Amino acid sequence: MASAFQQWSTRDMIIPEPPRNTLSAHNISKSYGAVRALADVTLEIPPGQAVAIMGPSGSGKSTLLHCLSGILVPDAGEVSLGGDSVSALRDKQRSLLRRRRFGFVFQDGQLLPELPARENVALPLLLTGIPRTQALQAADVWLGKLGLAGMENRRPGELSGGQAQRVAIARALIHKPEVVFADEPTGALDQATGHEVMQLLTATTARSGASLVVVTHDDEVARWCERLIEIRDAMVHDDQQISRTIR
Amino acid sequence: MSVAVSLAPRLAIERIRATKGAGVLDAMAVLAFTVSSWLALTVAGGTWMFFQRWQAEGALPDSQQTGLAITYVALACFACALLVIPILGLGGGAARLGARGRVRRLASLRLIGMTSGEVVRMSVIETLVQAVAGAVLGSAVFVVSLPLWQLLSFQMLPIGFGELLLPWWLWLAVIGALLLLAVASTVLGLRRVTISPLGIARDHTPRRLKTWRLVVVVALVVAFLVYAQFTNIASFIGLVTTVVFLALVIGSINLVGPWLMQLVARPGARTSNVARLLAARRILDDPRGAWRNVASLAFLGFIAGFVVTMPATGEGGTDTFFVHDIQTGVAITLAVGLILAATATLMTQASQVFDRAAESIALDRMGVPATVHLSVRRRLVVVPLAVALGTSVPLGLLLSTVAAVQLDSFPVVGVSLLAGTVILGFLLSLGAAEACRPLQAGILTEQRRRND
Repeated sequence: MASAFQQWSTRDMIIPEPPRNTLSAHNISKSYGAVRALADVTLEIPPGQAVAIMGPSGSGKSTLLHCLSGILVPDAGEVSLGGDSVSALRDKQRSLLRRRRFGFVFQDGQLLPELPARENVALPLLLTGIPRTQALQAADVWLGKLGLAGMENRRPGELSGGQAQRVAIARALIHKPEVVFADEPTGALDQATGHEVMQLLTATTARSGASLVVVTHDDEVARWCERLIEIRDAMVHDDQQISRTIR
Repeated sequence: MSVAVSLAPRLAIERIRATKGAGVLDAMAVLAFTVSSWLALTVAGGTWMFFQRWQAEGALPDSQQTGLAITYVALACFACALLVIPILGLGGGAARLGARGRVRRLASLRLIGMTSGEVVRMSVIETLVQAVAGAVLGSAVFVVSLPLWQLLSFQMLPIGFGELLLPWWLWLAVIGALLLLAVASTVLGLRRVTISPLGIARDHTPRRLKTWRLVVVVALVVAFLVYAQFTNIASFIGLVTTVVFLALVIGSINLVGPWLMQLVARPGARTSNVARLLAARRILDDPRGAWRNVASLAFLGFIAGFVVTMPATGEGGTDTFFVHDIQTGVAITLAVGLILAATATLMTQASQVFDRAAESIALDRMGVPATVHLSVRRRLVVVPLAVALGTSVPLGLLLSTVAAVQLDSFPVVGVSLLAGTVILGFLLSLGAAEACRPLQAGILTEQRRRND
C-alpha cells in the first residue's frame, strides 16, 4: 500500500488545495428534551490532527461529532472553522459547508448500492459541479491509491466490508476536505480489516493535510490517532496526546 | 397457537398504532387495501346492477334497451376484467410494501430462532391483518359513497341507491379474492429474498435485458395488423380470435416495457447531474420493478388510446343513450384505474423512502441538498410514466384503427378521455411523489436525534 501512496502527485488534483483551519467548539451544549447530551464542551482541533473521541454509550460523543460537523446545531455555544461560525449558519449553508469542506466515513460505508465504486467516490465532486469525466478520473486515481484498482466498476454489494470502507474513505477525501469525520468506521469490520481500514484512513487523511475526528468505542482504533478525547456524562472527561500506532 | 400466529397480529397492530417509522408503511398498506376493496366492490356493484336490470325484464324504459341489457352485463364484466390488472398491482404493491424493512425485521426473528416457515407464515398473517382492516374500511367507504352514484344514469335510468349493493355472497367473493391475492403476493414477494438470519442477499450488477423483447412485440403488432386486414371481425370466431390476439399484444407491452426503461435510463447513467444519475441508476438497477410500478398506467394509456375513435354521439334514440353509456363507462373505468394507479405510486414512493432511509441520512450528512432527493423521486416517477404512456398510448391508437368506425367528426370525447388520462396520470403520480416529502423530512430529523 505504501508504494501506491508514493505515486501520489499533484497532477491527480482537480480541486485546488484548500486552506487548513482549526476546528473549534466553545462551550457548546446540546439537550434532547430533558436529556443533556453535551454540557459546556470546549475543544480545538488544529489542522492535520487525528483525534479519537471515546466514551460509553449515551455519553454524548456522537452528538459532539454531529455538532462539530454542522449536522446538529448546539443549543448554546459556538462551533467554528478557522474563525467562521459553523453553528450560526442556516441549514442550507451548513449542508454546503459539509459538502465542500468536510468528509464523512460512516460505520458501514453507506455507499449507494446502485452506483459502481467509481461513481460512489466521484459523488462529492459531481455535487460541486465538476464534469463527470474529470470526476471519474479522480475517483479512479483514488481507488488505485487505496488498492482497489480493477474494482472501479464493482457495486458495493460485490465488495467485501473492508473494500467498501476503502471506497468510503476515497469518497470522504476526493474533494480535499479540511476535516474528515468518521463515526465508528470499523464498527462493522473484523479486527484485522479494521486495522487495515484505520491505517488507510489515518495515512490518507494525514497525507491530504486534513484533520480527522474519529468516534469509536475501540481502544485499538483510538490508538491510530494522536489525541484522545474522552466524553463522560456529556462533558470532556479527559483530553490527552497519545502514542499512536505507527502508520 | 404457534408463535407466528400469536405474535404477528400484535406486532402489526402495534406498528399501525405507532405514528412513525414502519408504522406509516403499515398504515399505508391498510390505505391501499381500503382503496382496492372500495373500488373492487364498486365495479362489482356496477356489474351486479346491470345483471339485475337484465334479469328484471321490462324494468327498462325501452324495449330496445331490454334487448341491449345483456350487452351491458358483458361490457361491465369486461370493465371488471380491465380493472383486475390495476387492482392486482395495488394489492401486490401493498403486500411488498417496505420489503427491505420487513426482511430486516424478519431476519432478526430468524436470529432468535424462528424457522423460515414460521417467518413466512408470520408475514402472511401480517398482510392478512392489514388486508382485513382495509377490507372493512373499504366496505364502509363503498357504502358511504353509494349516494354519489345516484348522480349518474345508465340505460336511461338513474342509478338507484340499493342497485349497487352486493348480496352477501358476492361481497364475500370479492373480498375473499382480494385477500387471496394479498397472501399470494406476500408469499411470492418473500420467495424472491431468502430471509437468512443475516438479512437480505447482497445486491449485484444486474444483467442487461435483451433486444429479443422488442422483436417479439413488434412481430406481434405487425402480425395483428396483417391478421386484422384479412379477418372478418364481425363473425363470432373472428371476434374471439381478435380478442385473444389483442390480449396477447396488450400483454406483450409488459415484455418490452422493462427493456424500454433500461434503454431510456441508460444515457442518464453517464451524466454529471447527480439527481439524474441516481434516478437512472435506480431504474437500471431494477427495470422490471420500475415498469411494474407503472404497468397499470400503461394499461390505462392503452385503453385511452384504443377508445379515442369512439363516436361522440349516437344516431338517435336508443343508440344515443348506448353511446352515452359507453362513454360514461369508459370514463368511470379510467377514473377508477387512475385512482388505483396513483395510490400504488404513493405506496411505492413511500416504501422507497423508508427502504432507503440509511442512504438518505448518509447523503444528508455529507451535505447533499434535500432538493436532490426530491428531484430523484420526481424523475423516478416521471421517466417510467413517460415511457409507459409513450409506449401504450400510440399502441392503443394504432390498434384502434383496426376497429375504427368511419368518423364524421373529430372524436371530441375520445380525445378528451385520452388527454385527461395522460394529464391526470402525470399529475396524480407527481402528487403522490410530492406527498412523500414529509416522510423524507421526518426520517432525516428523527434519525439525527436517535443516533446518540
